[in-house]
Amino acid sequence: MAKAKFIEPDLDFIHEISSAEMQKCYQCSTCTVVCPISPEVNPFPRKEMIWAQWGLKDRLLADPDVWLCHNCNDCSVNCPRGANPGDLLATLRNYFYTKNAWPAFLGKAVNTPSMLPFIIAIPAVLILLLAAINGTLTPLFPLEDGHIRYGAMFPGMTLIDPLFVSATLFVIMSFSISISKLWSGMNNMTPRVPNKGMPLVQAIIATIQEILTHSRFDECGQAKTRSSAHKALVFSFIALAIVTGVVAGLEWLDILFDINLVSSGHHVTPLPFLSIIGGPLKLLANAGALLLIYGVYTAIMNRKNDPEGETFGKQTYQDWFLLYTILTIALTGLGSELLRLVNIAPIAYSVYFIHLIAVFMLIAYLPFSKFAHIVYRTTAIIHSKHVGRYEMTAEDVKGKEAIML
Amino acid sequence: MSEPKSILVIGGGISGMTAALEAAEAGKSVALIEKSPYIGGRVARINQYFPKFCPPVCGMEINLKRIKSNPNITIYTLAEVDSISGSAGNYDVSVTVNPRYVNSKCTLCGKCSEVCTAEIDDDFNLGMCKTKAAYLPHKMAYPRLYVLDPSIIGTDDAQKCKEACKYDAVDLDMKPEKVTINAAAIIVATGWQPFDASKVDYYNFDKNDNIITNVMMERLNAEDGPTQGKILRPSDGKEPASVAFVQCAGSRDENYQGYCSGVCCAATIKQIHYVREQYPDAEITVFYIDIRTPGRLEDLYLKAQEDEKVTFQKGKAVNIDGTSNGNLLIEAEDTLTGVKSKKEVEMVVLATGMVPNLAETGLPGGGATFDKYGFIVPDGEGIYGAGVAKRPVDVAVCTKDSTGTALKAIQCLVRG
Ligand SMILES: Cc1cc2nc3c(=O)[nH]c(=O)nc-3n(C[C@H](O)[C@H](O)[C@H](O)COP(=O)(O)OP(=O)(O)OC[C@H]3O[C@@H](n4cnc5c(N)ncnc54)[C@H](O)[C@@H]3O)c2cc1C
Ligand code: SF4
Ligand code: SF4
Ligand code: SF4
Ligand code: SF4
Repeated sequence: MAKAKFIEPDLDFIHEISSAEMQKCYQCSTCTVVCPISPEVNPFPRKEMIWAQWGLKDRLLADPDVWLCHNCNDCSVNCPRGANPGDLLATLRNYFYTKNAWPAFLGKAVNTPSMLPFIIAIPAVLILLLAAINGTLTPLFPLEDGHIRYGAMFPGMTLIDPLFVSATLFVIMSFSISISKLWSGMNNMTPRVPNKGMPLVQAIIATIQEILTHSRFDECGQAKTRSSAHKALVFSFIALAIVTGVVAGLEWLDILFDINLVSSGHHVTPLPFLSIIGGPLKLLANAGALLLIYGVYTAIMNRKNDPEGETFGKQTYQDWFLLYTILTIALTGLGSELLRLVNIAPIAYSVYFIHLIAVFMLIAYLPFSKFAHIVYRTTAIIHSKHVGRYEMTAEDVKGKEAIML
Repeated sequence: MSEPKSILVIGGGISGMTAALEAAEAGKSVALIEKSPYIGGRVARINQYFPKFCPPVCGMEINLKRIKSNPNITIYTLAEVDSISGSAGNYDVSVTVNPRYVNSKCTLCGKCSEVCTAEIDDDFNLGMCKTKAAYLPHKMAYPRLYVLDPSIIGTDDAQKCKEACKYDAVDLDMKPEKVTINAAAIIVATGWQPFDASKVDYYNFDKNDNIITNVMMERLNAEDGPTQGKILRPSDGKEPASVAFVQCAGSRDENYQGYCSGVCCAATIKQIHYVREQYPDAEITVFYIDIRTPGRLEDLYLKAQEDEKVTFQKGKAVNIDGTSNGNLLIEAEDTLTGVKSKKEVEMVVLATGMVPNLAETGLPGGGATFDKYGFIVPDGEGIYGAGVAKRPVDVAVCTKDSTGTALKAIQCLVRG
């Protein structure tokens, strides 16, 4: 006989994540069976339902399955009690962004609707301050030879780069704290099975493959359309990241060594279309932007057409924060390009300013927004491959205490 | 005050019969309207009865005897209510009585059936086999009269039946008749039908013959059933070496039937007993959420647990897929070990629940209140639900409930 075990419910936690629906779960386990991506041993999301009802916060915050879930909602659609297990997992992820990332005050700010003006003001003020220090605010909306050059008001080396490099460093620091906590928690929850699973490097490679092909995401039944929108978003982000990286590299090359690989002019940007490097880069940038708009538009419409969350699950502030941030980036990015071409300086510079704010919000607030799933989910998938989570069988847990007790 | 009226009972299952008898034996005049060609309802189709595992004949025979000998009861079979007007104490109920094409001269000689070539789905056996279109619905059917299915009227078959009948019992000129019944109170005992398991996609009930329902299992184990009482799996007639029962199939599920049918756990325990009697070595697995066998029925459950070849696995069975050899793979999580797996068995029984017959149609003519599942809510005067029309319960509860309901109807009649 197993020894009696005392559970310690965290009542505050229950209040924070609980819903009337969640409390209706009667542990039938329809959800774990219909979930297309739930493993054989200790499958999700049934056990999470009872942990949540019992307020077992520590377990849930260390539970890799919260992240292995792809939010396809098959479980909620088939749940006999309307307990919406898919929503619970989404709520737990939101909880993680809000409460578990360092520093906590930013988690709260990013995830509280009434704090939105404040978190928009942070980048706005920072950018204007840096521009003022650079002396590029006078004259406002500068023209060079009658043309707009965004770098004239928001210089790359002395404004954009310091701002975004320090934001990135901050994000890395924040993630390294929460990831190491999550990793050791996950190891506790699902220890590595001897002779199963992959070495870490191999697990990382396999995970990247899985993410790029969406092979797991495509197994979802209910929210199939979500996968195509998500693919568009992933590939557009990759395209835009490549463009941003290359352009930054080119600028530094130009500034530090006075080697301008794209144009004979004074600056790297705006990229001249008729150049060997500039042309393809520009094409890639525009293709990425269009793909981004398609992806984010589809994602928004999916949600809009499902106001009750019957197909895609309950809608949360976190969903909308991320979707609208991305939409703003896409529209202001493309808008900046077009307005520069039609050369209406005040509007063009303002739109570009908004673009910078939105990009900053996406990057600097990454650990606290739903966008953080790219890091946490990737980590959980790597972990699952490393410990052999999907290869475990009943034999591997035989005689061991059942994890949900 | 006008002449004492009658009490109208709609539905001739165990509940309707009981209510009719109780009122009639108290001296009241009763009209019993039954839609099918015989009375007895679902109970007639159940092979053995929990809690005592007795055949339905036992109880049924006594009731039939009481009915036959009671002049206060008028039975209308093949009859349905068209409309109800009036109010408590004074209803006018218009009823259509459909033709049986066989009159009371029938001696059950069976000649008409012999000569009839047309076959129809055997409704009594849930369509698991065929019966002639001139038929006795089942061996105990009451009234003791053959029936001609309307589908053969106007064909040679009907003519042949008429010619074959030496007793002049076949009457092809029968027409639907309208009857108006004046009643002080109406007892609605319309009972249930089995839940349609094909509504649940993940069971693949439609796609595999070897997935049956519990009501079909009752017929498989019945001597007058499609297999003469042998439990054989439908696809190939094999004696099953393993059988799985899937509890709450479509029940306690918001997406299908939101309520617990109350009887299907005990029915499964009973059917385990059927399988065990025929196959002492068969492996039996029951997938359940909770086993609900209240009161004395718990003893049956405890007894079944002692059987070493019966496994009760906690966790709902969800995906059922066929294999090439006709077997079935049932996927479920054992929620006590936390392992999700697929179990291969030779036959699956879905423990489906009872859906109230009036759930979709309501009461013709109105006047009754229904809950969201289609059970009659006991409110108001004059029209009363009884038995499964009111709540999903077993026979013992039905009879008690119907007795009480008869008393209410009598009070309504006496008050006028
Ligand atoms: C698989 C299974 C096994 C079971 N085994 C047992 C058991 O072992 N022991 C036990 O106690 N209980 C058992 N039950 C429960 C039992 O079958 C019911 O309690 C019983 O049938 C209820 O009787 P009833 O008269 O209320 O309804 P029914 O038996 O359904 O009778 C209703 C009657 O009304 C008629 N009717 C319907 N609509 C109309 C209409 N509009 N007009 C006129 N007539 C109409 C029908 O034709 C029928 O004759 C079992 C149930 C299931 C599902
Ligand atoms: S969440 Fe729903 S499907 Fe899952 S165990 Fe609870 S009640 Fe069953
Ligand atoms: S939302 Fe999809 S992936 Fe997540 S638990 Fe439910 S079925 Fe599984
Ligand atoms: S209808 Fe005539 S032939 Fe048919 S069973 Fe009755 S008596 Fe015999
Ligand atoms: S009686 Fe048993 S099988 Fe039937 S619905 Fe209730 S719990 Fe489910």
